[in-house]
Amino acid sequence: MFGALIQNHQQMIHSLTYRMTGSMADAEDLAQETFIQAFKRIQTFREEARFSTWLYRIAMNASLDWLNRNARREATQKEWVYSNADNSAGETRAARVEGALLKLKPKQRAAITLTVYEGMNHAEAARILGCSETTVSWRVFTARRRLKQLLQNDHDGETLMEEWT
Amino acid sequence: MSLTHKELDEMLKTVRIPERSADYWKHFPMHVISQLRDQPILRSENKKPSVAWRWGFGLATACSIALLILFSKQGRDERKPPPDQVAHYRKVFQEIDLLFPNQVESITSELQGLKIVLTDKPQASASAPLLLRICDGDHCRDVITFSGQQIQIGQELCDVLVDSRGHIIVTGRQMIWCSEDAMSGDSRITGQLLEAS
Repeated sequence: MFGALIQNHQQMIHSLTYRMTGSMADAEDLAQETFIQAFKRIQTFREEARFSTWLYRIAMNASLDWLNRNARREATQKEWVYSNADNSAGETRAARVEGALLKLKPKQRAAITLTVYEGMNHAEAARILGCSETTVSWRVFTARRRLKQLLQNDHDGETLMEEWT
Repeated sequence: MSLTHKELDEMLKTVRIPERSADYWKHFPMHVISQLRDQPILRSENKKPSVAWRWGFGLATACSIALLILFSKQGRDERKPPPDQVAHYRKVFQEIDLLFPNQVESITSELQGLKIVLTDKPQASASAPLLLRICDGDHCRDVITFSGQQIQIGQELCDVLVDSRGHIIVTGRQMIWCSEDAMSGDSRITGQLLEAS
């Protein structure tokens, strides 16, 4: 009975959980957890303007819990850095960006995931995160500031390369 | 030179999501459902037709013939059933439910008449009935059913769900519709709880 709902939203939820965890296996676990929770709580679906927003919220809460409760976050970070060490320049850069994202605080990462990757405005992100629009804006601002610090060296290196060539 | 907003966004967009196989997407829903099968709320009933069911269906069909005349005269052009028609449907449901308490699975009103589907035995937890109008071009049919039941829309077998605030969700493999905001933009469906006045 629930199969169609999962089919319709599975890629969206996997995408979100992957952005939050940086791990395929954990993204899968969290996506499963999301749909199981959604099934159990279908009677509580309310207030949200869209069903997908409600699902996003469940997935985001599950991801934030995951990030907050375990030290696997650090392990994942290492996994990312090492698994991409021998890749091409583009992939290595992506790995460094992913590494920088994983260094953000969970709520900052959530704000960046929703606004940058899922293309939501701050009001939509606020509905999913259960906070005010101002709070989202602040988290996006601080996350961007931190990311710029972390990725500045990469950027400087690339600019230098462009000038030489 | 410090990173600009745009440059940062470009860098962030370099992180792509690894692709999963079509096989994975095909099996993922089944995997989740297999985990849910142990949940007590997932009810699976044997609905083999019995003698009692056939007898009941016969009675209900007879009852429906009289009502058919009434419904066939109702205008079908409007997307949403008018209040008096909803009241009629409410009465139809009440009468059939009186005959077969908690056994009504769905009552469909279409050009050919009323089609009533009953369960073999009374269901443990009967939720509030709801009314859906499903249109295909000029042809519309009205369905009285419940959360948790399935209805056919076009080629799709869709699940009907109701949340705690009375919003109706109809979902199939290719579509999803919600009475609150019609999120799929599916203009074929309108719906409301039948108990609401």
